[in-house]
Amino acid sequence: MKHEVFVISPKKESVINENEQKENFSETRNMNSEFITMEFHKNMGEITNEITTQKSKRKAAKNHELSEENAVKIMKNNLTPESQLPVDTLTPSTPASLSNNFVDLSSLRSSQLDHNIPKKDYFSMLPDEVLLLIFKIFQHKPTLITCACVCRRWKEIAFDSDLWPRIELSQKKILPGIMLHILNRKPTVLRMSQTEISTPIFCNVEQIMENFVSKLEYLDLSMATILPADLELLLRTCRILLKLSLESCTVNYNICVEISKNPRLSVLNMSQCMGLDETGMKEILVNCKKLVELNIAWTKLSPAAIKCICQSLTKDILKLNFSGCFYAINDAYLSNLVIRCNKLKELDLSDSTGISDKSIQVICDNLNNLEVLSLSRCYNIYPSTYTKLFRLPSITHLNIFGLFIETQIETLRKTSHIKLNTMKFSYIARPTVGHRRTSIWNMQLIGLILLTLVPWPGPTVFKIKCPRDNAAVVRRLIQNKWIPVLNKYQVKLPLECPFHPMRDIFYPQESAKRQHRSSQWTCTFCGKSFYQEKYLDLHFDNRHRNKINMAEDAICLADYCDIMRCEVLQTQNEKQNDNVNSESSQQYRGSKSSPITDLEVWREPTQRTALSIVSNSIKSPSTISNENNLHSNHNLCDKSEAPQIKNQNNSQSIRKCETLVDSVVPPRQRFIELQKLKANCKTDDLLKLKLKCEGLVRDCIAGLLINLSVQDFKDIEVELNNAVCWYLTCDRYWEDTQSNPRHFSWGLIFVPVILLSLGLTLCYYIIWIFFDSNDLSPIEENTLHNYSRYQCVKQYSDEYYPASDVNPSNNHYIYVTYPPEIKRKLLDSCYNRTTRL
Amino acid sequence: MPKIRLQSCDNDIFEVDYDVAKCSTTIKTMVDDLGLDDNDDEIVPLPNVNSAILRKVIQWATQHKDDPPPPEDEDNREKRTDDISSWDSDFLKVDQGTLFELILAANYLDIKGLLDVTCKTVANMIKGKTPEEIRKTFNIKNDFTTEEEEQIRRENEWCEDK
Repeated sequence: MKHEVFVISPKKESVINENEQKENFSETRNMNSEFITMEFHKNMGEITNEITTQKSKRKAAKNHELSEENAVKIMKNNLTPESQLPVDTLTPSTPASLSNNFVDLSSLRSSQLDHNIPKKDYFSMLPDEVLLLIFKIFQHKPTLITCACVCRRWKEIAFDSDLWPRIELSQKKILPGIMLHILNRKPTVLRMSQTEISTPIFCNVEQIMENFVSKLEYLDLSMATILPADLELLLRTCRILLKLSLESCTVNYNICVEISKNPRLSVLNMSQCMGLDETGMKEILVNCKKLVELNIAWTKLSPAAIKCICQSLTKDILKLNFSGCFYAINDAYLSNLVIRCNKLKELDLSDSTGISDKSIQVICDNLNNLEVLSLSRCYNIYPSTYTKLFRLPSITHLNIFGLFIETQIETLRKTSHIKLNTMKFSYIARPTVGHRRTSIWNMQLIGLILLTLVPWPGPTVFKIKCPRDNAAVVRRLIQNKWIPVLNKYQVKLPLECPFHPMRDIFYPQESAKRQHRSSQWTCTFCGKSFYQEKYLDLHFDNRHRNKINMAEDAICLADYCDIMRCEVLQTQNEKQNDNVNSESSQQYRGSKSSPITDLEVWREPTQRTALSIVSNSIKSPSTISNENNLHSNHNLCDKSEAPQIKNQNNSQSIRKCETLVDSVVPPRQRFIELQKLKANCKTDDLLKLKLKCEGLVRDCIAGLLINLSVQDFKDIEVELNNAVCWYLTCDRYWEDTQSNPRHFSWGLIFVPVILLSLGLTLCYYIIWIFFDSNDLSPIEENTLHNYSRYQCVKQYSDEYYPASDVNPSNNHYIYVTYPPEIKRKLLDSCYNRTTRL
Repeated sequence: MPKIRLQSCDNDIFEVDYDVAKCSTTIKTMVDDLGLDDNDDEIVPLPNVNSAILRKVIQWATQHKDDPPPPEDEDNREKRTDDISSWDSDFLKVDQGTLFELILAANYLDIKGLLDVTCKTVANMIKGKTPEEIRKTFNIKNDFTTEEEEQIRRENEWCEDK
C-alpha cells in the first residue's frame, strides 16, 4: 500500500525516507494528512464493509475500558474522522508492511500533543510495580525525594525499601533526630564513614526502641563522629548485622553488648577504637560465633584482654588483625590463639614487640593455611627467624616493614617466591581501602558519582581539618602570654580550659617535638631530625598523621583564631621574618616612593605635605615591609599613631590614618581603599567577639577559683584579658602584641659580622704587605730574591749531587738532599713565592 | 518460519513471526507451554492490548528481534537514562497516553527491553523537575498540604548533595 501511495503522489518523495521525514516533520505534516486522505479515498471502496464491522466490533470490545477509552480519545483529538478510519482498518490483512506507515500517524499525533498538558493523570493507570520500576532508574536520591513530594501515592512508592538498599552518607553531617528517617528507608547497607552524627541521634528514644528494628546488614561508621551513647542507641536497632566497622570510634561495654546481639556478624572492624576492654571484647567473642574477620588493631588492649581474646576467639576465624599490641601480647597468648584458630589465612601482628622467635615456630607449625602474615616492627624476633616462614607452603605475602633495609629486602625477594612488603595497610575487615574506595566490603555503592570526584583520604587518614599554622599561632600566644601570668600566681591552666595543652588535637605531636639546638628539631616517634620546625610539622603530616589527640574533648586551637587574631599575628610573624629584607630594601623603598611623589605632585600639589608625614612615619617603624597592601597600610597607620593615641581621640586617629593611607595609595584607589578600611572594622562584631573572648577566659580559669583568693582571680582574669581580649577593638585589632619582646634581628648581627671580618682581612692584608715590604730593605729583598732563586736553581741542579760538591763560597749554607718528591714540592713553593714577590 | 496470530482486545488479528513474538516473555511462555506452533487455527488472545498499541509493540519487536537478551538483575549496576538508541527515541516520540499504554503493554507482555526504554523515557520526563513541574507535566493532583510537603523535604535533607 505504501508503494501505491508513492505512485499516486510521486512528488512527495521525501516521505520515503523516514528519518528525513521526521526531521522536516512540520513541513511535511500537511502533505501527510493530504496523502492520508488520498490514500483513504483510494481504498475507500475496498474497505467500507470492513470499516463497519470493525466499528461494531470495537463497540463490543469495550470491556477493556481504560486503554480503549484512551485510544479513542487520542484518535478523536488528533485525527479527522476520515484519517482515523484507515488507521483502524489498515492492519489485519498485512500487518508487517503497514506498521511502518503507522509511524507517520503516531508522530503526527505526538507532535500535535507534545506541548499540551495531558487531560488525565496517566500515572493512575500504572500499577505500583511499574512506578517502582521507573523510580528504580533514579539512582540519584534527591530525585526520589522530589518524587516523594509530588503526591501521597508517589511518596509511598518513592520511600519503598527496594529503592533505598544502599545509603551513602560519608563525610556528611546528620542533624539531630534525622537518623530515624534514614533507618526508616530500611537500607541494608549504610555507609557513614567520616560522618558527623549530631546528638541526640533519635528524638523519641522510648518509642523507637520498643519495636524498631532496622534492616541494616552492613554498617560502616569508620571514623564517624558519634557519641558512645548515640552509638549504643543506633546499634540497639541492629540485630541482623553481617559486617560492621567502628574504626576509630569511642566504644564502651554497652556498645559491645549491643554488637554481640548480632549473631550473624561475620566481619568486625574495631581498629583504633577507644575504650575497648576485656569485658566488652568477651561479650562479642562469646556471642558472635560466626566471625571470620576481626580487626582490633591499635586498641590499647590490656594483656588480660589479649589473653581473653586468644582464649575465646572463635576457631573459625580466617582473618585477624592484632597489630599495635606492643608488650601486651606474648608468646604464650599467641601460641594459644594459633593452636586454636588454625584456619587463619591472614594474620597481622605488626608492632607486637612482646612476641619472639618462639611464636614464629608456633605459627609455622600450626597455620597451614596462612597466606598473608604481617610482622612489621616486631623487634624481638631475630631477623634470621623470618626465613623459617619462607617454608610455609601456603604463604604468599609477608610484610616485615621496619626490620630490614631495602637492599636486604631485595635480596630476600630474589631468594623466595613470597611477596615481601607489598601491603602497607591492613585490609582485614576494613570496608573501604585503596582503590575500592566507592565500595563497602567490596560491594559497589551506587550513586556515588560525586564521591568519585571528591579526593578520598587514604585508610589511615583521620578527619582533622585543623590548620596547623593557625593552631601554632594560638599555641604560641597561650604559651607566651598566658602561661607566665598563671605561673606568677603559681597555678596551672585547668583541664577544662580548651587551651590546656593536653586537649590540643596536636598534643601527641607537639609533645613529641624535641628541640636540641636552634636548628635541630627531632621527632621522638621515629628519631628523625630536621633543621626547622616547619619541616618537622610536615613530617608529622606525612608520617604520623594518626598520632593526634583522638579524645572527644580534643580541641583544634585554630578554631579560636577569631579571638586570637591569627591573621594579624601571622602577618606580623611573616614581617619579622622579612625584617632582613625590609632593612636592606630601605633604599629601595625610598626610590619607590619617589615616583609616587611625582605622581602626587603632578596630580594634586597640596598633597605634598601629606607625603612628608608619610615619609616621616615610614622612617619610624622600620619593620614595615614594603608590600603595599591594605593590611600593612592599616598597620602603618596604627603604629605611627601609637605614641599619639593617648592624647588624641579615636576619630582623630582614624582621620590621621586616612591621610596617611591617602598619600601612600594613588588617589584613584584611595577612595576604594578607604571604604575597605572602614568596612573591615566592624565595631559591633568586634564587641561581640570581645564579649565571647572574655566569657571564654572566665570559663577557662573558673576552675582556679578554689585555689585562689578572689582578688588574685580577678587579677589573673584582667591580665589574661589584656593579653588577648584587650586587642579586640577597632583601633587595637591590628596592633602587634609580639612587638614587645622585640624580635631578634639576625640581619643586624649578620651584616656587621661580615663587615668586621672583611675589615679584619683587609687590615691583615695591608699589614702583611706593609711589613713584608718595610721590614726587608730593598737589598735584603733583593738577596732574598736572589737567594731563593739561587736556592731553587741550586736545588734543581743539585738534585743528584752530594752536598760536598758545593761551591766553597756558599759554605755558610747547609745543603740538604731531599728525596725527589719533596724536592719538587719545595721547588714549586719556591717558584710561587718568587713570582708573588 | 512459524507464524503466530495475535488478537488484540478490539479483535484485530495480527500475524507475526515467532521470532518477533518471542520478545514477549508472556507470549513465549504461552506458546511454549501450550504448543501452539504450526496450528493455524489457534490465536493468542491479548485482552489487555488494543490494536493501535499492539501494532506499535510489534513494530518495536520487529526492530529489536535480533537484540541480545537484556542482562538480568541490574541492581548492582547504575542505570543510565541517556543510552536510548535514536531509533527508540524516535519511536517513543508519542503522546503521553500512547507512552503509558506502551508501558502497560510491555509490562503485561513482559517485554523487558521495551519496558526499560519506555520507563527510561518517563524517567527522563521526571528528571530535573520540581514537584510542581512534575505535577503539571503529568496532570497529577497534589494531595499534600504545604506543611506536609515541607516536612518531607526537611526530613530528607540528608540525602541531598552538598
